Amino acid sequence: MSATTAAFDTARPRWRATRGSHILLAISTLAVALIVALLLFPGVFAPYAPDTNDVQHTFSPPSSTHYLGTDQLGRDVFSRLVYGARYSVTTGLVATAIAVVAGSLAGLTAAAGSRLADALIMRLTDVWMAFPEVLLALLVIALIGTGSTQIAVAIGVAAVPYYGRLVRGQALAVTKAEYVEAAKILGVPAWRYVLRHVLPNVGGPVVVLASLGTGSAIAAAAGLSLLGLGPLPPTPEWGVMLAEGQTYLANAWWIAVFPGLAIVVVVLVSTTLGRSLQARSLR
Amino acid sequence: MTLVEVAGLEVSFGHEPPVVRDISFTIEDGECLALVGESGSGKSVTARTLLGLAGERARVRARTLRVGSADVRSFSQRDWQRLRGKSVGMVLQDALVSLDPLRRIEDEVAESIRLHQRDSTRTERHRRVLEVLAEVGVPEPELRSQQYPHQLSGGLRQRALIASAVATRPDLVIADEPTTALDVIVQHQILRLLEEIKEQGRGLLLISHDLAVVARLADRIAVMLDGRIVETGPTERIVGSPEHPYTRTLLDIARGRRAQRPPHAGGQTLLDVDAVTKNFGERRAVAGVSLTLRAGETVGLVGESGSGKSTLARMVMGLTEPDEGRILLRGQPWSGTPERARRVQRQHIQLIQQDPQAAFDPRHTIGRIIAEALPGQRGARRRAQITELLATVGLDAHFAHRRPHQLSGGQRQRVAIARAIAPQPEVLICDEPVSALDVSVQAQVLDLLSELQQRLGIALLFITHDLTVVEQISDRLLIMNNGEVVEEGLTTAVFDNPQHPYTNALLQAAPRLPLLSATASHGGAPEPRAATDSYQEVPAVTDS
Amino acid sequence: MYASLPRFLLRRLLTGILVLWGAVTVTFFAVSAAGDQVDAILGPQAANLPGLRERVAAEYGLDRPLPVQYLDRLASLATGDFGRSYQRSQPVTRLLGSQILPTLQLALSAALVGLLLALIATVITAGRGRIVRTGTSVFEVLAVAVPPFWLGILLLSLFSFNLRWFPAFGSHGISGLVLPTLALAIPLAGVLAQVMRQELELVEGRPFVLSARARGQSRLGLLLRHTLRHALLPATTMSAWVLGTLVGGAVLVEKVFSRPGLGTVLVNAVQHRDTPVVSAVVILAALIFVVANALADMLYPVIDARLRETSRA
Repeated sequence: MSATTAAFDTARPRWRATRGSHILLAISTLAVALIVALLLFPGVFAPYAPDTNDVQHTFSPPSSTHYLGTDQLGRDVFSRLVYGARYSVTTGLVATAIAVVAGSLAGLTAAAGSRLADALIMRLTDVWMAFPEVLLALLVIALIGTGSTQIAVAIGVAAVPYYGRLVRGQALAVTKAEYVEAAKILGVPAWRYVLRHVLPNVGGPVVVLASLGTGSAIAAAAGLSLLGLGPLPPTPEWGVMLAEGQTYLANAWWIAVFPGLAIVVVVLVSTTLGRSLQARSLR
Repeated sequence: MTLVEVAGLEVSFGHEPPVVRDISFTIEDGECLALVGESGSGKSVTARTLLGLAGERARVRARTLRVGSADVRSFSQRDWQRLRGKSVGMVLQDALVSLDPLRRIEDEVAESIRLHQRDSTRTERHRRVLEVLAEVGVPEPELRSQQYPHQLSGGLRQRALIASAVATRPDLVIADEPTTALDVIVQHQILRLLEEIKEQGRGLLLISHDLAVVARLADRIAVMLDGRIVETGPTERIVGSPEHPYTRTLLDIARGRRAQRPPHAGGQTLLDVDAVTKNFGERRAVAGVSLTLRAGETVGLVGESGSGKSTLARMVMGLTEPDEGRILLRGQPWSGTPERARRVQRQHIQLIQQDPQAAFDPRHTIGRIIAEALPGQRGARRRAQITELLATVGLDAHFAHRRPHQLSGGQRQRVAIARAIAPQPEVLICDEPVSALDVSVQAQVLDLLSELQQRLGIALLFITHDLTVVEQISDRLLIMNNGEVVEEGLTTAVFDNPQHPYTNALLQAAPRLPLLSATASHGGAPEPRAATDSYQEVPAVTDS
Repeated sequence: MYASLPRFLLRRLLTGILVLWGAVTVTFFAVSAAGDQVDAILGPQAANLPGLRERVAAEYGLDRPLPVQYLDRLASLATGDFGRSYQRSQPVTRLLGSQILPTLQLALSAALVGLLLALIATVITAGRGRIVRTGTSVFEVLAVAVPPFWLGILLLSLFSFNLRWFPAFGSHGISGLVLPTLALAIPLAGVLAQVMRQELELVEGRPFVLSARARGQSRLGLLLRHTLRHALLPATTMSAWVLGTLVGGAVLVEKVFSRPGLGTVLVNAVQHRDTPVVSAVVILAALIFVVANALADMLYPVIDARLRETSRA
């Protein structure tokens, strides 16, 4: 626009940022594909069954036969992690799906509905956001009981207002955007410009937030399982593995450390994917 | 004394080709040198290089690079910090963003004193701040110094910014587009202040895209294009007998070429705005404005920001309902009708906005964007139409596959025009269509608009703050101030004989070069003395 | 300084009370919608004894109509009465009273340390070259991705079991607070540093920074006198969310470090569906959020003068 901004542009060319985000996007997409493969075909990746006890080899440290060592019952930690992805990752995905669907419905209702509906929904999200997510999830679990599904519901419910806010804000911004106005000026009927401009432009940021949110939902699910509110011990869920491993922390660090590392990796993948999607949509 | 001596300056970023190439100039005390060029010409980078602020990745090379009496080529960071603000002061474009919004005016003005006169006491600094604020014409300095930038008007803010640059009485002041963000009347006052600073014996390096602005002030002008100085010389010579074609282009634009066509008599009335009023809460944005637009004519609507002209445009486009009054389109009710009824009429009236980027869905290609204006067409026929429309506005067919952010401002505005004429409208509303563009691009887009109008016979309502722009293109003029039309008439009549004091003030303040005959500006014939010596006496126009 | 301040504060107070009332209402109706509370009190096996259900319902006031229960709940909450625990059948306030202090202590010390770490990281890396910045941003992303409970396990494994620098369990004064604080503070510092640095980079592109540098301001002077204040604005906005998250995270970290605090009580209550206890904790957390938000709102116009006049509109 002005000479000043133009000069700042030369100081920081944008293709650099874009190229970086393209690489990150490629890497994180690849990682997502790998995780999906783990979910669908754990047997291909895991050298052992997740529940095979081996009393001869309890507490063996990471080696070439047991990449990540064995636990107190001689079960292979790596194999358990691979099979456990089904529980941990799926719980996070389901939680995010619940939050996205409920949040989008609430947000769209607020944006499109009457002023009263908007005010009501927005005040409700204010209240909702006043509760820390973990504590709200704990309240939901206290009400509906423990277990994997319950954890997914609890985390999903706690995250709803964030999506609701985003969707409402986006929907309002996009309906006021000049490009929607431009469509209106051309005589495009309302249903068509909603389909063509509003929904895709509202959906983009939701995908970004969902990608970022899946990671923290997975971490939160593991945390709740660690508290003993999720599936019960023989299950190779990562939080359960953490809780079990913590008992033996003094002499076998690997039992608790690797499930946590798995969570970190998944969270990193989901944030990197979200961020590179965001960077791409900005430019 | 020579304040700045530059020879063979080259600045590049990373491995890209240099943005400043082989530039040489000097600035003496009491002298004003103007670097004139459009964005990307390298003029701002050149100015910043004199302060060591070209950027982290900038590679600077020069045969000579002296600021003050020092060779700055070997300067360390610490040396630069000692030079900046002490011997050289810098004024940037818009004080709303060029002053720290979280700090008081006093803190900003006192900053360079604090940094360069370390033994100064608080009271001394306070006294100096009040003194310098008074010098730059800030009334009630005691009160203003305790306020924040957002609490000051644009003009006062710019004065405060200048105060912060001259607080340590530097020998050289660099002013980078110091008046660009200001309304014309304020712009005029700031230029006068800069002249006073020059008269105090300081050197002034003025950076601008606008030859009309610098001609008032500069002793010498250097015209920059693509990182090079293409022409340099005394202001009178540059304005009087430019040698480089680019300088001539800039001069033509600064003069505002009067359109060589007879005033259009106008045919049937297409748009009839009858005493419309719009309030936003307490504020009356538009107060009883009436106007008519007849087939094939161009009406210019001029007003400064906040005059209500954009609100009027929105009502005319049927995007906002007037509180009072009514609007007829092609003799039929337009305001106050349901959108369903309006939709079938919308093809007759189209809009071109200031920022075409915002008017395009960022997710769509240019082809899809234009196709939205061609309902009911599919496949090859639609593609052919898009290609034809792009050709009409002077763009290649391959632009159809690009996305909006990949285009330059001028190209985007061409696409916006293509989309607007696609439904074959009879009325085209242009709301500041060129004010976001560089001046030479402005000229091209304006040429395109008038050419299209002549060919297609569209009626134009041309809304702008820029008198130079409307003078070129419009048959009739309306001047708006505070929501009301204060003057109305044929363009020539308004320019030659303004009736309302506000119109007069606008015309007086507009930075203009004396209009010469076409032969003089292009042929290099002797030049009547340019308006460099006394800009107070701005010739309001013109021959006809 | 600004005339509308009292009115602004009053409005904030009212919104705060409204949010709290909403929090109480939402939890009350969520609890009553989730099923018969008598089942939760008695557990499945004891439910068949004749007359027991009615006695328990009467004891907890659950036999009255819902609106009456709701109004009673509001009235007793207003006097600081959070009801009685189903499981321990003692007042919730007494049950939580001794446990809330260690948790708040942990959350606050983590907030302070986190902010400090973030500030240090920002000041050290501000204005440095691309490599330093990229390096720190990788570090920050890592810190954010690490769940506090696992970080706690790592720290335990390293500093308690291997190096034996800190006790592994309980709360032994300051030394027992170090590891849990770090476990919560490091991810928080990652979040805050990211937000601050993002804002800092945004602000560094603004013309007023160029103005300040053109006056001869040094790198550090620029940061301290200009840009850091801008960077603190978004961090201030987040403070209420930060405290809430820390209280939530503390529950998990306390479990890992076997520290006394709300965590143990809460997890026990959740497992036994002791809803009065859980609701009380949730409402307390909402109270902390509301108070922290009000404080941030008051701090905001002190940092940014532009906001002092927003209530004019």
